[in-house]
Amino acid sequence: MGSGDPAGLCPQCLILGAFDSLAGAEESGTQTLAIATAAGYDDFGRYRIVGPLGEGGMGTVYLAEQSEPIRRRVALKVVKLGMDTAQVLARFDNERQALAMMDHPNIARIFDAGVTSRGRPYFVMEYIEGATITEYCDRKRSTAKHRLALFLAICRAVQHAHQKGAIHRDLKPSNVLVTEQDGTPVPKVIDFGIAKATDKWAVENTLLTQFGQIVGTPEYASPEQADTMTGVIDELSDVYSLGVMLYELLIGVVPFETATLRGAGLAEMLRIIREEEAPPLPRKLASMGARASDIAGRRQTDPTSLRRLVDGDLNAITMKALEKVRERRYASVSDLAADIQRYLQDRPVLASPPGPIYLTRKLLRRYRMAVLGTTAGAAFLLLSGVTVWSLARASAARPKLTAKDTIVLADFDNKTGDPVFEDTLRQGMSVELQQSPYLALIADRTVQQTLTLMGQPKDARLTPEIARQVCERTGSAAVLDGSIARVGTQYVLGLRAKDCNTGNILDQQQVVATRREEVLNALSQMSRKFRTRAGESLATVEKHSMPLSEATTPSFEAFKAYSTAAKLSLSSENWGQDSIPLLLRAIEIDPNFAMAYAKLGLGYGGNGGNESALSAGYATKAWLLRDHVSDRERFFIDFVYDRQVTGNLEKAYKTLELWRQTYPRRAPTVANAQDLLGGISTQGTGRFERTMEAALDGIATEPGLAPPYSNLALAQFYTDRFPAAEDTLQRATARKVQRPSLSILQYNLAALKGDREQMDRIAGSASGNRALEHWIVHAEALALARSGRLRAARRSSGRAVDLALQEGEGEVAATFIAARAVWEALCGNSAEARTAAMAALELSTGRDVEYAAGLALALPGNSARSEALSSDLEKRFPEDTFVKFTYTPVLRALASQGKGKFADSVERLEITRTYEFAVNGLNFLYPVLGGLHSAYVRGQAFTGARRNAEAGAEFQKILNHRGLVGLDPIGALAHLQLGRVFVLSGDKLKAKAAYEAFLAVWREADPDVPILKSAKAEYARL
Amino acid sequence: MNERTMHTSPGSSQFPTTRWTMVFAAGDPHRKEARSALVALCENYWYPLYAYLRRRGYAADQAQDLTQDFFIRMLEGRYLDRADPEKGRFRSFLLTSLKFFVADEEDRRRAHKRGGGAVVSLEFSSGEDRYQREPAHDETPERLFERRWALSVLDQVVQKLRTEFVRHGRPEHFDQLKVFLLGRSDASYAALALEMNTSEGALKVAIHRLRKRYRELFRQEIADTVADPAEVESELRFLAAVLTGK
Repeated sequence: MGSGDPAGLCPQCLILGAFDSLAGAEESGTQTLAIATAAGYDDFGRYRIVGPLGEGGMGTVYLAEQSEPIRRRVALKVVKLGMDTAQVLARFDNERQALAMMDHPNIARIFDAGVTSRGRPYFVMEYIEGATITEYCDRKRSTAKHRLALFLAICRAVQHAHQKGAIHRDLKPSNVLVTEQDGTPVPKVIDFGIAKATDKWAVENTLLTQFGQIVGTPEYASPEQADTMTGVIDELSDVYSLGVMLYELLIGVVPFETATLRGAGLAEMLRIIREEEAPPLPRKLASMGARASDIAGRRQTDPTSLRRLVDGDLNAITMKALEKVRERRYASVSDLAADIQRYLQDRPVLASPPGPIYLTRKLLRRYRMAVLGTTAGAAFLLLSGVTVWSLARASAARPKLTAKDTIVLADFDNKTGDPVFEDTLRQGMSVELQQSPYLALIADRTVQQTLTLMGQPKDARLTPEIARQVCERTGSAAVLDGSIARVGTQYVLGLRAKDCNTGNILDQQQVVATRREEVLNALSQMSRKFRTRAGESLATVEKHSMPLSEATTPSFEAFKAYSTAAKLSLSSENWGQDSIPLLLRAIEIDPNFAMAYAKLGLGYGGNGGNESALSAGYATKAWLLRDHVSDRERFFIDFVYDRQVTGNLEKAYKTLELWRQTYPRRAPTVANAQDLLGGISTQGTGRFERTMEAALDGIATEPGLAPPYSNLALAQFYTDRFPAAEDTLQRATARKVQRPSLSILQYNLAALKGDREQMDRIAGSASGNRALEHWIVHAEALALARSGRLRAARRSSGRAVDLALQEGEGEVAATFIAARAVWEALCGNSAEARTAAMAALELSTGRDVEYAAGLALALPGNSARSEALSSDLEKRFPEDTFVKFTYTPVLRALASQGKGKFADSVERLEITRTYEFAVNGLNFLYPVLGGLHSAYVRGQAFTGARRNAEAGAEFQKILNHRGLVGLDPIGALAHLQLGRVFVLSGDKLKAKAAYEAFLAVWREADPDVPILKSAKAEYARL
Repeated sequence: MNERTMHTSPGSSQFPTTRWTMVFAAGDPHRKEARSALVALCENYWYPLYAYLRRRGYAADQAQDLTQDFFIRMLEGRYLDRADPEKGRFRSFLLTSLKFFVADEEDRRRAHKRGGGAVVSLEFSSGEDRYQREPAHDETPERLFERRWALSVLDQVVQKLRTEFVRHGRPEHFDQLKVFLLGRSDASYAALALEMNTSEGALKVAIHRLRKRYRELFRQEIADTVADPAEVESELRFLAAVLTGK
């Protein structure tokens, strides 16, 4: 096996060669030829082709003559075959207005766009007779100053376009032509607006087409254009491309040369564009060897002088334009132009750090006079409220951590006597360090487990020594411990990092905070310093660090409540809910505490959707404050917002994936992308494989945490892998992992197997468990209803409702009642169904309650009321995945059936197929009913429309997906409906078998259930 | 040279069923043919697992032990019961099982005690060399696994193709023609034909056949790692996506 490239060939290209559809060399060769010659035969309307001008990535450019309304020569760009003509023109139309407004002497006009008689789109542009800017300058042996002047003109042109809202997206020397007018060179930017109209990546923000072919020019592409996930292409992207051009104009080469980029393989090429810093101009020039004198010669200078010229401000300006981090780049093209202008006028440029020496040198040059030394340095230190000094000697050999190491955080030693610093500083440090995508702290839960193994109480104080033992046992690399002491009115904070295997000190710092309010800032400073010392690059530290006091809260008391809540939610079985009072206190103290709101949003909505309205309110509040949080926290807030407010699970899911990608390492908190990735946004969009992958990952890294087991077992259950689900539950039990959802799932599995003994055992152990009992009793009710024992089911359901109400879970109680309404309706008891549905609605108007009640009302044909409910849902949850793709379509389809419009009903259900095999709000985690109601309703619609085969397939679908249907009564009723379909299609034998299957499940059913009576009568007729 | 020697014909190595289905079908890894199929699969595809473990943070020796122990466990028949023949891809099965294995410390300790001799020959020393050359950026262990997996598949295919040329006594032809596997080449047919002492037409035919054979071998290799032949195309697309970073 070779080391990388099979047989020395580029793997990306090799694998693409494995697809039949890709044209081979000879085919593509002939195709290019065809385009070139075909231009002659094709009809370009009022334009007559004179001859080819050149060929680019997008197509061929011809010189053409326009005959009317005026006679002129134009450049005509014919877009390559294979692009969608209609789309290209539509996008061009969008751009047309911006383009029409652009009227700048340095921008080539775009006159027109059209389609040839053979269906190829083309653009008509001002014809510029000239050379590309680099050719022109080299031919003229332009000096650097002269080149800068031309470049400034280009900047102004681009700036003009930006003001009109047009982004170029493909700035490069070949798109800047220089003509001479009366002996003066005039640069012209061509192709404005064409990149956006034609290129796929203009829409999808990437350099790649579907099979990884590069469009655009990688040498000049900005990092965001190489970012397939999040790249935003705006003015700053053009700033970057201009930076590359400036680089090339100054020293004759681009930062990353074609050979390096293209030879690297695709993924590596994109990585270089995204991540690698451009080499500074002087260094690059020095690396050119013999070529340097030729390059210098074309600028009428020698290599040494050229190197000196580009060392300093010009380098700083170019590097600032080429910043990989958008925020640190020039904020606009005009800022870049202004800095160049300043350079040309010998004024200080923004791009350089304003060190005293630098300023002096500038002043000297500008005023040609002496300036004495300045005391600015000393003054600077006095201004800051915090001073930091380091006790660790900076040395190249200092041991560093690697990205694979984990860290144990000890408790801070609080010598101030002020209780507010207890826990708070450790928690604060934890929040700080979690901003790092590089470092990983050991999860608090793991710490607790390790303490237990060590014979210590779970909440034992983590002294440096105990933390060291935890560090050893968990195979971590280092212990971080800290202290705080008071000296007069000031506070001295200390931080120490120790390798727990060797005892070597990795880092040691002290910070003085002049006031109590400065303590959190001091903590932030220490954390940032530690991160860089531990080996994190300065760039990521800069990118991911929001001072704690800004990111989280400036109030100590609020933070204290928040961190105690975090601690509590770790040890509580029902995470989220027990911490609510503390979180409420946190927001009372600091009404702008975004993370506290977000956690409240999840706390109220996380478990069984108790108080969805409250949850949505808090999540919204958090979202409104999201500008004041760290990156990591923002992901969490965005996720909670989509989960609890918009209900847009696709968006929630994407946030999680992005979050995980940005922070591949686990955070030691409850809210982890890794754990949440197994949850509702993933399973609610049918991504069960992804769930299992994420969950397994979670189990592998933190085998003591509950959510991954729960998510894994659920995903296995929903995809009918019952033995695997049981296996997972056993693993959880073996690890002493408990959670209500695990017991509920266990109950469901037992009930589906008909294992009464196991069911009773679980029910027995749930008795008295306030977080669990009502759910188990409801599951019991559901299982009874599923076998037609409605009287017993009603009794159990009533008890479940009472228990839920005792817990203050009104919305949960309402879903229980609504579920009862649904099974009554399914069994033909429309009066009971109606009463229960109304009672549920009176108790709550939560999303799932309204849907279930609507279902109960619509099944027997009360369409008016159910239509009102679907309109209400639509209005309140326009983006909600369940509402949009399942709830309203099902309700509306039922309404159509009520009016006898079966074809219409089928039509309305079409959209439900999108997520038909996903879970919904009623059957995920805490199942109130089952899934696949859409299939049941569709089966009814097909039956009504006499499309027997299709109807049968729908009911069979329900029988085939036992996990998704769970204990829902439709799992039994589908047999009966299937039997009815067979009767209609005249297949008596199969019909009989289906009826018998139904009657077997309902063998203990109450005899007076309407649907049973009709079923028996129908069966007798067979 | 004549036309016949410039391309190869399918060898006799085609399995009647794919290797992975055979492992399933046997249900018992101790059966000889199933075992040898499994061993062959493991030997070809161990490196992605090793790289995964290394990226997960295990030291080289730990990762070697874990990989070795994992294969021993698997050849003993562990994890196979967990494989889902309906949706089985060898790739996902391996990674999933490895995760279980790693999670299960008990298993690991037992394996250590027993010491388990080497059953599968894995060139760990070369593995660590290779791992050291993996790009050091923030790629997750899973992504690294997938990328390495895709490269291993490519490697197998190209090796097999080359072997067929070698079998026909024309290894140099493979080296001359291999660039045409890329779907795009700047090489001039006329010059190459001259160099290979054949006509341009014959060369084009040879290239056409080479590509065709390449695509066949590719699908065959993938088929060995999926349970259902219908999954070959989607697995191929997956691998392409992994390599091209989409």
